[in-house]
Amino acid sequence: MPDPSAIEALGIVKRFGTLTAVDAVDLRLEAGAALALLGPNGAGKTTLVEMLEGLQRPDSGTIRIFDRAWDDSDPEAVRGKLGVCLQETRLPERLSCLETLRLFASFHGLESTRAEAVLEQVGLTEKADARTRNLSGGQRQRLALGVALLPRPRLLLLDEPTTGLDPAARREIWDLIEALKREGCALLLTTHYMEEAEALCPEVALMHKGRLLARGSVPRLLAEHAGGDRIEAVFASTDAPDFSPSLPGRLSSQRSGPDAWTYRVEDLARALPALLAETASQGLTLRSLTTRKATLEDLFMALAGERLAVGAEAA
Amino acid sequence: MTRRLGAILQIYLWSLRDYLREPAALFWTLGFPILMTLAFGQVTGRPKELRATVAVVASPAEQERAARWIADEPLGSAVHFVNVPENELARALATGKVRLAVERPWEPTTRRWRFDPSNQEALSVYHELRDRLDQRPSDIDPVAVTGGRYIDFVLPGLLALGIVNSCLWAVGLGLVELREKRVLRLMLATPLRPRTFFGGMFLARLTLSTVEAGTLLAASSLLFGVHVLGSVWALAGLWLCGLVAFFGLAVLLGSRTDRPSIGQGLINAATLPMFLVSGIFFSLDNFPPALASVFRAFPPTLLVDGTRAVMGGGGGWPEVALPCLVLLATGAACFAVGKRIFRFH
Repeated sequence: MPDPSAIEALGIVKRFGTLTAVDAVDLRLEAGAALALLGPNGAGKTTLVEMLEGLQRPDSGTIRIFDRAWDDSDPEAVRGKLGVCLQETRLPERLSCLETLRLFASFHGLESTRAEAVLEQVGLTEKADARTRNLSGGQRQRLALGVALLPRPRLLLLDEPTTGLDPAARREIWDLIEALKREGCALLLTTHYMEEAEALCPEVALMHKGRLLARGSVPRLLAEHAGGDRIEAVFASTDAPDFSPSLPGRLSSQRSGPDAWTYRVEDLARALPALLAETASQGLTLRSLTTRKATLEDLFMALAGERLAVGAEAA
Repeated sequence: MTRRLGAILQIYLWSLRDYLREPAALFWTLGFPILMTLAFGQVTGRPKELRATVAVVASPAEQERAARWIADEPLGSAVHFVNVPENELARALATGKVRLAVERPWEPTTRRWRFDPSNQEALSVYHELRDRLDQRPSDIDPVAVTGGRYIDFVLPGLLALGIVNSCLWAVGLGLVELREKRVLRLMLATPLRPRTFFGGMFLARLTLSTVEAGTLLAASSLLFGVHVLGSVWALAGLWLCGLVAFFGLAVLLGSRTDRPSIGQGLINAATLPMFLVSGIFFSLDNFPPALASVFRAFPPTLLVDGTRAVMGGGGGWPEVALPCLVLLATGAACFAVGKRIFRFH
């Protein structure tokens, strides 16, 4: 008999007053798979994840975690399979790292030796006796991840685990998550950071205004919705016309600033010389010219019509 | 079962560590009540003789006579006489600068007393002074009465106040802060059951309240010779029931909000009336009888009066049985409602 899905959510709706935070979302994640949920602030990611964690109840729809619903008679059995890392959690400040892990280990009925093992796993053995209030942001987040790892979870739900961390600390968290994935733990990760989504998960799901816009591997989604290369041209004057129709293999164009245009083209090698020639023939001067491959930011722009904001800065 | 006991133990240890590692909490729960007791005891703890400031009032023509009488007054340091002009007397009495006033004290036939007869202290000074000025043998026979000092009156109130305060502030506000920091939410995401969580917190509060009350009682015994005249077991039972009552109230007050400012407001709204109507600092006999009988039924008043009945009145289980039942019922009702509406996030 095949393993049941780690997550099977159908028709999930959650409303707060007149706001529909999550709107008819279907989400399935197989055991051992990894999925990044990507979207701007207010997209409904955290609300959706908290419903999957059993912290909030959906107004309608069904959620099953490893084939068990939250309103089954034994929700504690489901919780024992979950590792949860919440957004912006502050751990008990006057406890040491080891005491914190022992506290949460006791909630799962685990021996304190498990706390010591997890402390080593997240690389905080030297900080065993340090109070959590004295840890750096990265260390604190590693400890929070350690709390999630205590029950040897089969499904990790990580809500923006690296927000606010510097690149080195973020990389340490990524290494930890990679190790867990190798052990067969399913992963649902919400993040603003596109590079994080691409680095940790073979699949991403884009969420916007409570709805899932698209789901799949990044190359497939880019090919389907935002294929081609990008040319970003910034002109010396603000009156540059859209002369992209004359570019060979032109897919679309968009004014990206008062003096800037972004062109989506099929073949950079053919389009770029034509763009330079057209610029010269119209007597325009270029201030800068950038070419790049399509990104998740482009994908989100193509699907939602707006930027991922924070993600764009981080990418 | 073993899992639950392990979790209760860890929550218990967490609460103790949280307390012991916060120096401010140690001061406010252990040091400050002792300082307050010391202050009350110094003011009223061991009066050895009559002490009062008394105004001598005389006409302008008799000012010299008054000054001479004060200089020669025969009562030693027991009474401090001051010359107060007639037009300043009302203010001096109202502000407590003097307890009472006497006109022409050197003339027994025209001597006139002025004081508020409802002021017990002024009344006793009046009786004492009148006898001394008339050189009559004093009819006061000082008897050492255990439990009759103000410190004996106020200490049971302070002990009860400690239980109320430690529950409401440490537990009630503590829950709000855990919710604000999202620690409760993280705990909810584990198999921890609410009753395990509250069980650990209650045991920790029981331990800490025992230490706090024991420290204050020991300090009062050493400093002022205060003793428990009644049944220590009855007193322990009463305090345990008080702890149940105010732990339940703390869970109720801290059950919903995640904003400490609102939590503080709720707790203040609950504790301030308690200070006024529970007879901690002054007797409820000062209230109209109908109102006083209502106030006497309040849980904090039951805790204060029960403590007083055992400590100073030598009472035992018969005196505290009914208060214990009311306190337990109050705690159970508050806890049941609080747990029902409790938000872990």
